Amino acid sequence: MVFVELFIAFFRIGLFSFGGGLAMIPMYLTEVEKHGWMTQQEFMNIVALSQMTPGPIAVNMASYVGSGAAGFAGATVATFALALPSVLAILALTSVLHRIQHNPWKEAFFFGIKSAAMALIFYAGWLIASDTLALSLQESEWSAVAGALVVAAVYAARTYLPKVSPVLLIVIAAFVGFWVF
Amino acid sequence: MLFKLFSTFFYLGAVTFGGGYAMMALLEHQLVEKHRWLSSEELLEITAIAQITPGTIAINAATFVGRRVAGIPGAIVSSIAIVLPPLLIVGTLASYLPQFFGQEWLHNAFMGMRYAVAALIAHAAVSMLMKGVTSKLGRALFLLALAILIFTPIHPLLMIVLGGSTGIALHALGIIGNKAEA
Repeated sequence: MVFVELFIAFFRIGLFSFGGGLAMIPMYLTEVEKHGWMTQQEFMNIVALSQMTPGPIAVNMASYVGSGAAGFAGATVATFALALPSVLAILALTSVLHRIQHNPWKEAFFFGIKSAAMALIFYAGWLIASDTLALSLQESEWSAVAGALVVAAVYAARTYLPKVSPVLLIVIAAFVGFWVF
Repeated sequence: MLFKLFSTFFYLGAVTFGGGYAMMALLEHQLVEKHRWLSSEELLEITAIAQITPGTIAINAATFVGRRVAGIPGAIVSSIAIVLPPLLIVGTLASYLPQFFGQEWLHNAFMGMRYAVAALIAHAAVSMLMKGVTSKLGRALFLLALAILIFTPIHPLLMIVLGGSTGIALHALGIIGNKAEA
């Protein structure tokens, strides 16, 4: 029964993967090949597509694989099975955290993980920027310069025009990319 | 309130590309600046919690915020709302999307978007650092963590565990007190 297989496979992926989308790829690949839902090559195309369609990468990958295996119903089963462990884990954790709200050990723990999380966010921005820059440099130096200008312009817009929606800035950057790169 | 949660997370699910960290900038804008459901500091805590709990950061954040704002129903509504747009788009269009995304003009548009996302993350990160990590010790730990991330192949999950252990060790040594000076 393909729906049961999809549910179990994606619940397992959701349960055992930490750190979001791209960190999940090896687990996806194992499940997809085991069940014969698609080839490795097809799956790699899906990974690229998942970064282009809206929504979290992991959810997109689940929808693509589920849809390939059993149409829209398959996509629905895979997506909800993937999301379920996240939801349950957060609900369990928040009730525990609520109970130990003013515990000094908990506060100390959070003091430490906040600095670490902050570093991860900076690092993620750096990875996207350097990755895209490397891709631009393969195409032309001009495209890399234009990219740096886009970064500077978007940063300045967020600083000096805080009312402008970040989504609008992304859309404008897409048009700039389309015309300039 | 449930409707507001639904529409906010549905919107976030529909307009974010690239997942987790790319989403941080939009979460900061929507949840902290616009709706004021969370402080910068709390958003940072959620990011860290999302790293050490299974599943995707975006769904973790939706569940956490929904729970905070409107209890268990809020958590369920927010989590469903954030996965619905990608499910509807990909689930119905999966077989047509590969041809569509092979086009070169689209590749160029995506390059532009990726640069914009990098800048948005940088901006959100600086603003969260200024508001969420205010002590000298916290900022020193941040710089140390960033250096470790850049120069070693450490796993993000391990980085968070390391940060938490450092906090607990500092408390055990009496360096940070009851009210951890965030």
